[in-house]
Amino acid sequence: MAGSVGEAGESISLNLNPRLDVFSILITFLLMSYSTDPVNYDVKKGIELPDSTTIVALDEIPVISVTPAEIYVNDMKISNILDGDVPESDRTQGAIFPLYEALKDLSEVNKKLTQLSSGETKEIGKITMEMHKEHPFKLMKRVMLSAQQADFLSFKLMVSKEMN
Amino acid sequence: MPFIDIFSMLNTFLLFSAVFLSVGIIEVQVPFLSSAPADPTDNVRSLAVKVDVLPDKIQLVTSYSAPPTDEVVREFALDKNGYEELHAAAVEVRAANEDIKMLTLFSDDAVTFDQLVMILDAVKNRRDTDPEFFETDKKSGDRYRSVHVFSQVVMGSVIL
Repeated sequence: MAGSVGEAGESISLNLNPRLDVFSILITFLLMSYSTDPVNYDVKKGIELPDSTTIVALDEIPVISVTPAEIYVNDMKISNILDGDVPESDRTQGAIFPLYEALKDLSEVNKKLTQLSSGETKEIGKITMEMHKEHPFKLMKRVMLSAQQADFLSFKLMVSKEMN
Repeated sequence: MPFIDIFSMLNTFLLFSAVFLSVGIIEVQVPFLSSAPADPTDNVRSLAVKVDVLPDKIQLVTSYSAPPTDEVVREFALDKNGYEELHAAAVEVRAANEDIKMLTLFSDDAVTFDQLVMILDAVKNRRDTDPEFFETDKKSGDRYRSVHVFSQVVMGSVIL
């Protein structure tokens, strides 16, 4: 036990046992929740992900982020969101034109990189998307339609995993 | 005292690296048009499983592609009990049809992403108490135990 001498010459001792107990419990808890997942990603500000019982872990950083007020592609702002939908000026045939353009460029780059590395063109484009849980399906449909037109046919929807 | 030093350093490191929000993914697909010739097995009478999400209820519809269609429609509430019943019905359909792994989901525009995820959980994720389902790997042809009830969910509403 640590100790020191006070003004009157009396010895003051500091009981470290409770502190050790607290540290032990805290470290046990933190070790148990320590994550060794290959991908650690901080959800964009304002986004609240829906809860899910999925056991499939996130394996790549999301490309499309739909916050309560904006849509991003790789941290580049694409469009605003008002009352759960994009402005009419950004809409074309049910899809979001600026989003389609950004994803089309991305798709072309992906195809070129895949051809360079393996000589084959990828059959199905996959894209990861994070979206605020309160958004209606109408907006989700627009985003998916835009991505579909840009040759992205498979979506990995980011959700909050229930901790066991 | 050295013990305290070690504990302090370990504590600090673990607090900085702790993950309090674990993120997962749910994979879905959208329909796509193809100019490839029709699959000869398309004319075979097969079961189609469809989920319709309406603003006030969920419908699980099973029907055959050729007569007799034997369409069966089951309805569930859009609440926690409804999701549980939907999951039980999805497991029942999947257990009775081992080869069917695809389900098409149609949703009303007003349904929120949160509700949709709960429905996807109900039809996609297999629980420990569910029977085991097997699927065949396309490349190797090996059969493996699936972690899903319906591994392929197509968002049928996403079309031009």
